[in-house]
Amino acid sequence: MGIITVNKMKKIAVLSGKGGSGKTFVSTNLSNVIHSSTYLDCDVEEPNGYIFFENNKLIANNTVYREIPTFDEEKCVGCRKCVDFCKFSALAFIGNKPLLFDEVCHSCGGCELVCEYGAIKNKKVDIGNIEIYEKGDKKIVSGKMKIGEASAVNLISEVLDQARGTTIVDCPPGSACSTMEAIKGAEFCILVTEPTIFSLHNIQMIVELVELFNIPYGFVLNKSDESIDYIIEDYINSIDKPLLAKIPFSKDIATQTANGKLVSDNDPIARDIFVSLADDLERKGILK
Amino acid sequence: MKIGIALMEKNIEKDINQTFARAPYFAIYNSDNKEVVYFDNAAKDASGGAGVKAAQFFVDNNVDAIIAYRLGENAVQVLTKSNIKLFAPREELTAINNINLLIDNELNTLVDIHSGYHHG
Repeated sequence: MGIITVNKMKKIAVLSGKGGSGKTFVSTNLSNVIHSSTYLDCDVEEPNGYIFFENNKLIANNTVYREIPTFDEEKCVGCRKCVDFCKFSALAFIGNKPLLFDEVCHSCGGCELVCEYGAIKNKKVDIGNIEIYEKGDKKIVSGKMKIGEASAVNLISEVLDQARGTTIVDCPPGSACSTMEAIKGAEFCILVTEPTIFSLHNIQMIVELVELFNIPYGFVLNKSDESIDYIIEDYINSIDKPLLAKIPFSKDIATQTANGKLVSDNDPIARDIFVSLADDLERKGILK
Repeated sequence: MKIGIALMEKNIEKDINQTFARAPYFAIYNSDNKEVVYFDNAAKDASGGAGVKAAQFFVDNNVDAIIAYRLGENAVQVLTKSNIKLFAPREELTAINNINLLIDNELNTLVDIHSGYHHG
């Protein structure tokens, strides 16, 4: 069992659909057994992956902004071009003036471009921050969205810019815009699932998503229990995709994880599972 | 007076749609000539901002009042800033019956405002 050394940048996204399947569990432990890896926490509504890397050192904390339009009432002639241009309907036209709904705005900047009167200027608004930690040879990055902010997309995009070497992306739950943003540029997706009907339903939606993005993928079956694993295994076999690892349903693993410990440091069996997973990814050419 | 409603079918003899911005159809009833015009709702499939877009449609068509079961807060902002009055229908009545009640001043002001059905 060797620790894998990689030089070229490789991005692996870990996602699950259903929350609580074990995305953070798998991504933190996988990062832990890969030499000089980067862990990116893109679950920006509740990032907690950094907690597992004990004695980490905060080396940077950057505020992230997005731009929204502001309108110069004196210059605006009420031509309505900006309102009609906005594909997201973030602008209404009331009393001959545009009115912005900033949480609907996708910060595309198009309204400023179409305004012929120079009446629109963009202003920066704070949407969260990115904390960068170091622990030994590891880089750990945590995106934290500001409370009340509606869209995680801009923040996730900036977290992804922190990729370095072999990068494990801990994605948000679900299969909506923020998850799509988080898997952008990934060479491979690890789909974390558990042997429940709920998880099966969700993972099928994730399969649809990663196939749409044309990213190769495989599964990790977490909380595995031989008596019910067929719920997921039958499905994986039916679509002929690899089951990369099975992690047993174990009180010990759950307790350590709940206490903020990496099982790949503390539990030899769990460590073997993650090292084998990394080896397997390397054999498949994903980590090379 | 022009009255706007959201519909499941292009028929004011049927019920008003339970939701507003993503209803399949809109109708505008003109009480002066008792004419009704039906529209396909272009906001129905919007990826975001459906409330703003649907409300803008009624603003652009100069309606005076909207009858709706529930409205999102963005739609309410666009409509009220344009001085459009908002009314709650009576559940057991059809769209046209509710319109007639409004004309007779018998409908209550809408109070059920939600914060929008956002998804990703």
